[in-house]
Amino acid sequence: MLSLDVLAVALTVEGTLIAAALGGLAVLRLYLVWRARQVEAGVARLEPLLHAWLVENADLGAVITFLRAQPPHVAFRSVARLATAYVTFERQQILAPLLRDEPWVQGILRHGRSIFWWRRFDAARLLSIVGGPDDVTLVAALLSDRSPAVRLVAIDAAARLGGRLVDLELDSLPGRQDAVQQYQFAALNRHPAIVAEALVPRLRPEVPTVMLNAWIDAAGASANPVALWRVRDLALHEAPEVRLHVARALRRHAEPETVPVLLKLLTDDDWRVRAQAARALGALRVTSASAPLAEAVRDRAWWVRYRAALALAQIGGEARGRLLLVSRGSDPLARDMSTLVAGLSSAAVVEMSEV
Amino acid sequence: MATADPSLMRMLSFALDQMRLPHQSFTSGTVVLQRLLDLPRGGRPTVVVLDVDLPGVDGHAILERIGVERPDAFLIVVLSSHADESVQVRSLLAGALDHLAKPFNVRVLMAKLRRWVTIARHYQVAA
Repeated sequence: MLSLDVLAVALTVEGTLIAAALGGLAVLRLYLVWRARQVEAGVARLEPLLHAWLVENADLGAVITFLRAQPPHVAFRSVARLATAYVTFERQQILAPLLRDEPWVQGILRHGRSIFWWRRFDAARLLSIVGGPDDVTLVAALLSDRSPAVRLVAIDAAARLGGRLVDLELDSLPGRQDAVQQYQFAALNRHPAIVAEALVPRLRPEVPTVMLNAWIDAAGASANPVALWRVRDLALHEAPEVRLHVARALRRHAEPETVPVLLKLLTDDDWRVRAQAARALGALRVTSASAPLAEAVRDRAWWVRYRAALALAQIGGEARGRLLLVSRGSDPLARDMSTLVAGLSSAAVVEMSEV
Repeated sequence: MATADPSLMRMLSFALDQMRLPHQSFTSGTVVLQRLLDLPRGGRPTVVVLDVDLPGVDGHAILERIGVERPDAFLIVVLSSHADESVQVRSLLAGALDHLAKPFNVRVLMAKLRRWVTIARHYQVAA
């Protein structure tokens, strides 16, 4: 009998706990829905004020006053949603100093060193819109945050503030994943002059290969001519990986002096370098490279044949004529590749050349 | 004007209203393509603001189809979340007059639209 009593008590307690947990989940769900609706309403009311400023240069005071009257989470989420999607960087520069000292902004930024990652994430996100010179130390800390999500958002804030943070970002580039690097390049490109200044002294042959490759990629993404001059000087680097990155970066360097460098790389010992050189010659539409590219369609490496054929199709005109000539030639591998590429539409050639 | 982004749609409508430019809005690629192809031939070209990310038929597919069927009937500006070189080149090769990456400056877009509408009117005079 005693054991049945214990069982009944245990079941009652367990049932109560499950009911309480389900009740808690339901309440939490209702709370989140209520908060989301609050944000939606905030966005809907902020939108016309922001549009008036963006379209007609109306006074920003109405936007600031409206945000001040909202609960902090509504103000933050409305700004984060609308400012990042519809406000250009130069307009954000006007908005930022007006918002920076608002109490709701300060409240969220105070959480920049919170133990909860989502609070640091919100602070980093807000800094990417309103950050100013006083926030450099906090952004530097967020750049090396233990949460990858926070680090990613902090990149935008760092790029926005420039200066020492750009150095920090460039130093962190080699250790980042490829996708994060691409995000970093896009953020850094908002400050081309500052980034080029920080990048040029780093592009030296004695720099360790891993770091040099990341910085060459950054120079390529920036398409900054001064940085790319330094990249071009690395074309004879002893490490094939470096030459590979050089060839890839030079596709954004449309200068006559780049052509002989790329033609040299087209005959490199490493097939990856030859493939990237062919790609670059196509991207730059180097008509004088038609003959060496037609020769590269006969390369022993599949990727080189593919890139060279695509490059000829991209250049068009006489180069396309050479591609068709190869498709009627005696080399079966070159014939197959040129026939395949010659049949692509111009849109497909552009799309595939970039992949 | 074709975009599936309601907020962007409201902003562009507001801007076009300020400029007193008559316009129609579409949120589906399929519908806007059909409407463009159904427009009567001849007369002045229509200016189209086309978001690439449309449900149904995407902006690039619309451009390519119009390029084949009605090559000189529209002045098209493409809007896209992608600023990549390849996406921009693809838009321009497919016949777009311009490619703007989001977020773009709406005042600059409006200035361009004003200019293109004037050009479109000249086409009519010339015709």
